[in-house]
Parts: sequence; structure tokens; C-alpha cells
Amino acid sequence: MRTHISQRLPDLVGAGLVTALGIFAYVQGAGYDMGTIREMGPGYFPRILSVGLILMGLLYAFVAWRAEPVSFGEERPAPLSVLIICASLVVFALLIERNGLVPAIFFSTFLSTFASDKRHIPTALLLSALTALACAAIFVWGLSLPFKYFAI
Amino acid sequence: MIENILLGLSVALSMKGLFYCGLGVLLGTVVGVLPGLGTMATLAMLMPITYHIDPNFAVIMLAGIYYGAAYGGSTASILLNLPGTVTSVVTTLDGYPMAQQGKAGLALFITAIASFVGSMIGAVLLAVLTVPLANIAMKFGPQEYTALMVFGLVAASMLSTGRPLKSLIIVFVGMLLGLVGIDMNSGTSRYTFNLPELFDGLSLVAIALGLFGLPEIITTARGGPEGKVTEERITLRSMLPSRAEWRESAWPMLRGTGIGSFFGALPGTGGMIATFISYAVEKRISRTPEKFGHGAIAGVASPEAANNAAVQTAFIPTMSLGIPGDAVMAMMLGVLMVHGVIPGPQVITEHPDLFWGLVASFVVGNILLVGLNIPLVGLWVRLLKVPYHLLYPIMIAFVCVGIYSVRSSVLDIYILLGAGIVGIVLKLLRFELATLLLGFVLGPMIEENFRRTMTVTNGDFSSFLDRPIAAVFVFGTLAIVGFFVIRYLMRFIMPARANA
Repeated sequence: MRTHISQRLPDLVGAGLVTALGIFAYVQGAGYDMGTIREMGPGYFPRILSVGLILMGLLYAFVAWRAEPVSFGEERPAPLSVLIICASLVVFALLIERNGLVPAIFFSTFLSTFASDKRHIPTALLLSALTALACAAIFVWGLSLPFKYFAI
Repeated sequence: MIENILLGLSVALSMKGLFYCGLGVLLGTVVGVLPGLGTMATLAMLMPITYHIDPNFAVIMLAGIYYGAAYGGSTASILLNLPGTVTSVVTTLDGYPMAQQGKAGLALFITAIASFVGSMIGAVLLAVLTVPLANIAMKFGPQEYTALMVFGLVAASMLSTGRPLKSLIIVFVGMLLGLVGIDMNSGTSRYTFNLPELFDGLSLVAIALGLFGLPEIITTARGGPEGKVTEERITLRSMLPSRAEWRESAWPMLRGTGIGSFFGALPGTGGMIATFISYAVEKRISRTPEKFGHGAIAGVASPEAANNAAVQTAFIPTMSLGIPGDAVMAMMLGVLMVHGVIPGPQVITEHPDLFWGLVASFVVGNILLVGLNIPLVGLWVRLLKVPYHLLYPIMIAFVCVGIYSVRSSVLDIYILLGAGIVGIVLKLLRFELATLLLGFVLGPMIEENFRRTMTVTNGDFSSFLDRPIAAVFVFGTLAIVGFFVIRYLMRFIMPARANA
């Protein structure tokens, strides 16, 4: 029994997530006006979709239970790389409004270089500075977007 | 017809037209060459730039990136045995053996010519077929649109490479994401969680980049896919095929073009399936099938022609009906909508410069590509050796600024982040993500047309069957779903036979 579950874990987890998403969408959308079939309200379509997701999630679980064992996908980036890149996106998001384009790119690029296993701080600093300047040139000068370069 | 072509050329050959077309194919080739970054990632990464230019040139540039990436992908396939894009997987089968036999130049040349032939014939088909199809679509009511779009989504999920049920689930997830924002008819905000930035809906670029771009970029951070680049210099002389080699590749190119044109125009199939089928066809009808897999010219020429023809004909349903057949076309439509162009059969009559400019730019862009690929092959080879650990931080920065530039919204960066994580998780669970974008773009359109149908007919479903065109699509949808349900039930009832 336990091996039966663990061998089908990817499918069962997927089915569980889909069902959960359907339930979440249904609960969230419960307040939207359903309307009638002639005059459909904003809640009609969300309800069709969420019920569809719940049913398909259950069907998926049923099908997966009877199907052959499956394995998780092959493409998995290193967890540390994922964390560092996510952090660098957050850094960009935090800095862009308050401090302007150049600092935001500089710090997020610098942080993102740590996601690789080949770390070399001076190269990373140079790369970050060049990237910041190049992005500023492309987007602010080339496409004339109203970004702030620097702000304190 | 003549004046339309002249109009198109006047757009495509204008200074701006040439510039954006050239920029598109150049960027597409550069990123397409890099193994590890597929067409979707390339397009998503460069899409934000096109938000800031005139829609005519935005479409030209985006299309240029698309077929540029298709071209570039095969370079990596031949020289490295690493397909730059999914559509060039088949090219590795015979292209890489050719390179090992010292015929890399010839393989690259044949690829360029086959791509050119495929693209040109595809572009002609696009020019000839789109207008009549749009004229038919002019008579479509909401019933036809609803039925056609549902058919498109079902066909796309059932015919894709993944398992049908999982693809359909992903379509539903995409449609659900498409609902986020203020409902046009009632003004109710749906799934916005009271965030004003979400009132206009989720950003297509942020989702596309998160799902397709971010996971691939993160994967390349720990060293991209490795391969050995041939050290020998590729001279122009070594590229030119002999007369026998010309003869050997001419028919495969044309057959590939035919197969590619057909599958490109069908919803949900597209380039990848076309390349596999054209390869199988060539192998089947070849007098020397044993040569396939060991450097058969036909095995390179036919799939490459098919792939590029499919790229062009994919625009037929998109431009004539306003209905995208695959994820790339969904992105194309998304860009048009941002620029206020409402997709549909009226696009050709209301924006003739846009459509004919695009068609003409295919000709211009493909000539530019042949010019880029044949003499500059040495440059691309060197590009294959670019250290990934210096490249991915630049891409991350570019993605951030690009996303932020579209709506100046910090929330979009977090949506990008969320979509990236979702993309990684869904890939671990072996979901195919391409249909998500299709659902995202088509979902709101289906809702609107379905609601309109129900209002017009007073909730009477029979109007879907009374109208012949709508009925065809309804039965088509039922037939596809029925086929898969019956196939599954057969296995369920008679498991022994399925195993046999």
C-alpha cells in the first residue's frame, strides 16, 4: 500500500493540488453573483471552472491510482539557486520604486551571481555594474521610459 | 492584392520596419542558439520591449524573434547535439552526425535554405488563405466563436505531448487565472484580493516569463547544458552542397513544407509535431532509410522546412479568426491587445498595414536571416561557448526591468516570482505548461461569447446545433473527447489487451 502510494506520488500530489485549487476558487468565488443562464452574472463562469477543476482533480487521482508508477520530472534546478534568484527578484522589487533603476539592477544582479557555483566577487561586481548601465541605456535612453536612474 | 503587397512592403521596408525586423531576428537567433533557453523563454524574455513600440512594428519584431529563434535553435542542434529549441530536437538526429563527419557547414547551409524555403511558402499561404478565412469569420456570431474556441482548447490539450487530462486541467487553470480582474459586464472584481494592481487582470508577460523563462534561467545558473563545439573553421566553400546533395534535399524540403504548413495552421499542434512527422515520413519513403540517424541530408532538410513553414502558417488562425493555436500565438495576441488591437477577422480590414506589414516582414526577415546565418556562422559557434555563469545574471536583470517597464508595477515582479515557482513545481509534477497561456488568453473570450450567446438565445443551447459551423465545432470537440474517453475505458475494461 505504502509503496503503491509513493510510486504514484507525483500524480497524487498533482491531483491533490488541482482539487485544492478548485475548492479555493469555489470558496473565493462564492460571493460573486451567479445570475441565471439567460443573464449570467460574474459568478457563473468561475463556478463552472472551479467545479470543473475539482472534478478533474478527483478524476486524475482515480486514474493515477490505477495507472503505472511515475517519477518526478527530471528538470530540477538546484534549490539553493532557486532561493538566491528569488531573493534577487525581491531585492529588485524592494529597491526599484524607492532607489531607482541603477541600484535596483546592481544589487539584484550581484545577488543573483551567487546562484552559480562559480563565484568570483570582483567579476560579479563588474558584471553587475555593466548590466545596470546597459539596462539603463536600453530602457531609459533607448525606449525612453520614465524611470528614475537614481534616487535616495 | 497588389496594393496590399505594396502596402505591406512599405511598412516592412521602412527604416523602422527594417530596424525592428532586423533586431527581432538577430535577438531571436542569439537567444535561440543558446541551448537551455527554448523559444518560449526567448520570446517571453524579449516581449516587454515590444510593449513600448508601435503595434505594427511590435508584431513584426515579435514574429522576428520567433522565427529567428527557430533558425538559431538548429545551429546548436547541429554543432552541439543540444537542441536550442524543442522544434530542433529532430535536427540533432542527422545534423550532429553530419557535423561529426566534417560536414557541419553543409548541414548549416541546408538548414538555412530549408528554413528559407519553408518560411517563404508558409508566408505565401498566410497571405492567400487569411483573407478568405477572415471573410467567412466575419459572419460568425457568438455561438461560432464559443464553439470554435472550446474546440481549439480541447484540441490543443488532447493533441499535445502530455497526458490529455493533465493538459485539460492546465487549460482550466489558465482560464481561471484569466478571470482575475474586474468583470467587464458587471464591474465586480474577481479574485483580486482587493489589490488595485490586479483590477486590470494578471500581466501576461509576468506569467509567461515566470512559467517559461525563470525556471530555464535558474537551471542554467549551475552551468548550462554542456557539449563539445567543433573546433574546425567552417568555410563558405565547405557549406555549398554538390549537385547530388541539392537533388537529395529538394523534395524533402518541399514535403517538409507541406507537412509543416498543415500542422502549423491546425490549433494545438504546431512545429514540434510537424518536425517529428516530416522526419518519419522521409525515413519511410526514403530509398536509403538506413542512412537516417547517420547524417542523411533529407533528415535535416525536411524537419527544418516543416518547422519554419509551421511558424508562418500558425499565424493563419491567429490573424483571420483572432484565435491563437498555441502558446506563442497566445502571446502574440496578448501583445496586440495591449496595443488596443482587438483580435478577430476585422483586424485585416481595420489594420491592413499591420497584417500586410507582417506578411511582408516575413520575406524581409527571412532574407536577413539567411544573410545572418551563412556568413556569420563562426560568430554563432563562438556564442555557444559563452560562459553561462556570466550570462544568467544579465538575463535576470533584463527580465526584472522588462516586467517592471510594462506597467510600472512592483506587484508584477512578485507575480513573476510566484509564476516561476509554480512553473518549477508543475514541471516536477510533469505537467505540460504550454496550454496554460492558451487558456489564459482564450478563457475570458470564451466567457464573453458564451454569455452573449445565452443572452441572445434566452438560455437555449440548441442554437449551437442549429448553426452549421458552430455544430461542426461542437461535434468535433465531442469527437475528440469521446475518442480519449473510449480509449481509456477500453484499457479499463480490457487491461490485458492494452498490454499486449
